[in-house]
Amino acid sequence: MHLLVVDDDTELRNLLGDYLRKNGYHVSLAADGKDMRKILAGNAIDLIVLDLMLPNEDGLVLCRNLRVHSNIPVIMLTARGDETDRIIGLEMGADDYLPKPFNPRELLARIKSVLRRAHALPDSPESKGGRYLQFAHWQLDTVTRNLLAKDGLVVALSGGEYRLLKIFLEHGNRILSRELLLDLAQGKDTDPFDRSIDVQISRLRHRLGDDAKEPAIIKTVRGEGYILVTEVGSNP
Amino acid sequence: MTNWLPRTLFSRMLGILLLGLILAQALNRAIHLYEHQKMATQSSQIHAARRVADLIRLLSALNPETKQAVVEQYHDPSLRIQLAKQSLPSNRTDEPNNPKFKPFRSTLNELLGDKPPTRISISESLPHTLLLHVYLVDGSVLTLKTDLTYDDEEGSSVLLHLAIILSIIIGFSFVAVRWVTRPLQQLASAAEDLGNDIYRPPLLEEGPIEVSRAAHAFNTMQASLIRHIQDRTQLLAAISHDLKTPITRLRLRTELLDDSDLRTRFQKDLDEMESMVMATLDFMRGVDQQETFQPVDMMALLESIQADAQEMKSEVTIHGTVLLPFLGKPTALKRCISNLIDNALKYGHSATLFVEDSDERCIIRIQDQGPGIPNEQMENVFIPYNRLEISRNRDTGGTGLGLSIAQDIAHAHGGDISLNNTLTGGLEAVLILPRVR
Repeated sequence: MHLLVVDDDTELRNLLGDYLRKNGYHVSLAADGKDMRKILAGNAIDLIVLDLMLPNEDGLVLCRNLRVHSNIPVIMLTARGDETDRIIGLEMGADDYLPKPFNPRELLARIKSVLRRAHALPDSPESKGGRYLQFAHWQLDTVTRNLLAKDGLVVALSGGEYRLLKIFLEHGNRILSRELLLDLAQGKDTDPFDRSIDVQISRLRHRLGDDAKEPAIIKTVRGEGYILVTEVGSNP
Repeated sequence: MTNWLPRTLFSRMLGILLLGLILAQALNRAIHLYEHQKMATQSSQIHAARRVADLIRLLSALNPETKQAVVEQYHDPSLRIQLAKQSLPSNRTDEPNNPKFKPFRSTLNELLGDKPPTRISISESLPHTLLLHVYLVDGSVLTLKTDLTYDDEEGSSVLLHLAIILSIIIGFSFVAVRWVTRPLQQLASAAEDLGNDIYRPPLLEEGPIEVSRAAHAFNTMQASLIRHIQDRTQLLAAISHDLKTPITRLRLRTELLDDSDLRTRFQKDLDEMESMVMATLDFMRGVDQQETFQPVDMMALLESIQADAQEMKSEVTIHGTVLLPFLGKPTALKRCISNLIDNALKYGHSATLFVEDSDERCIIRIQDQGPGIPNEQMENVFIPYNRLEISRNRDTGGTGLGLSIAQDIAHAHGGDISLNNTLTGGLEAVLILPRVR
């Protein structure tokens, strides 16, 4: 796996390089957009770790330009950590977002998860680039991580419920196995006897007002897993 | 101030105004009455003097027999007359200088001409009763008693008159004083609001000059308070913000260390630093002004926090329910309740929630099984960066900001958080959130 780290802080850039190499990745380093384009032109990059605050062209501009012709996953780093950055970052097509100061292990986990998602399940195109994901009679706000009902009622989700729902919305109309859901939503290794996904699904159905006996949003596929059966749209 | 004085400016002004007006009215009335009485006395004396003069002139032209008959004819309750053959000893003497009878005496002298037929002595037998001894030329003595009273104005009509005037005055004063004191009340409630919301909209600078100047001064004060707070906030936020990159670098360096024992200790220090920086930024950012009030499913909110806690193997139980959506800021509310539950889990091993709901408010009680807080320290725990290290486990650390942030959020919703020790030991945090209508 070949990663590209773009950060203008030399110390941080080199440390990130060392850390990721230590964890088995091939890493290239770039200080700004010019370096980044040079490296992208000569190498097959699997994922970009991109700092938001860069001289000349900032991370948002770089990400948007990249998206025009490329689908390389991007993890955005920022020191600001407020919601507007997250909104803009996700709108510009970043796959994930990590506020500084981050735990390096968290970055590693995110890199793994984004790479796995990119390879195992290419995202459905309509789920990218909007703050709100629309389905059935709900909207999922990917910034505040709340569900919004048609009448404006705000329904909070736990971290687990949110991750699970987001995976379903990004991969609508596709059967997702328990193992895959466990792997993507909880980062756990596959255990055929782990029923925690079923518990989470039933809680999620309850939140969505979906009848467990005759679900209309997330259906059970006997022996295979679960499937989201509504149309998904995205709104900025 | 003595406590019998009225407390409000409104009642004081009303009192002063009414007292002044009533006094003026009473004085006016008294002067009017005095003048009226003087006039009435004068005219009744003149009237009496005319009758007496007529009688004297008539009697002096008659013979003694006819005199007696005429006297009897003239006698009536307002002019009581007696005729005696000769002078009777009298203990009353003439009071020629009594100013009270001056109108009477001068009228009588005028009417009887320069040669009076007789000698007259005038005195007062009873108040308002004039006693006259007239020594006629033939030696007989005429004794006259006449009342100098006059018809008083009808008392009840005076009272009615007064009552009408007074009620007009009271009504007018009430409206006028209210009109004058209203801007002051607005100023006072604005000052109260400022305690809850420093960003409240400025006052309208209108009304009388004094009031609009006070409003202007108030607005200036509010603006400089906001500026002051913002300067401080920016400074602290900038410091905390600038610490983020070095902390990130340190974290990476730590991960590259080979000594795993040293690495663990570094990580612990970094965790502490990071949580302080993040909580400071959180606190400085305050309750997000941008976040709008939205209807929130409170049970979903509580259960999502419960599920998150369960994922971390912590026990959170919820009793009771909230049926109707609560109008609030969803992200802020979640942070507020999360902070309270985190505290219960951190210091009290478990969190038990009791939820009460009514039309007026939602009450969420969060109880733990910990050691509680000494009563004298109860208020201190809301002070930013204040930690109760004596009674609480040092290892649990914390930033001392969690409760301050939660309290800020409660206040932004017009609510409040209070703490008390439960009977079974352990701490109870009571979050009261009024429902806005």
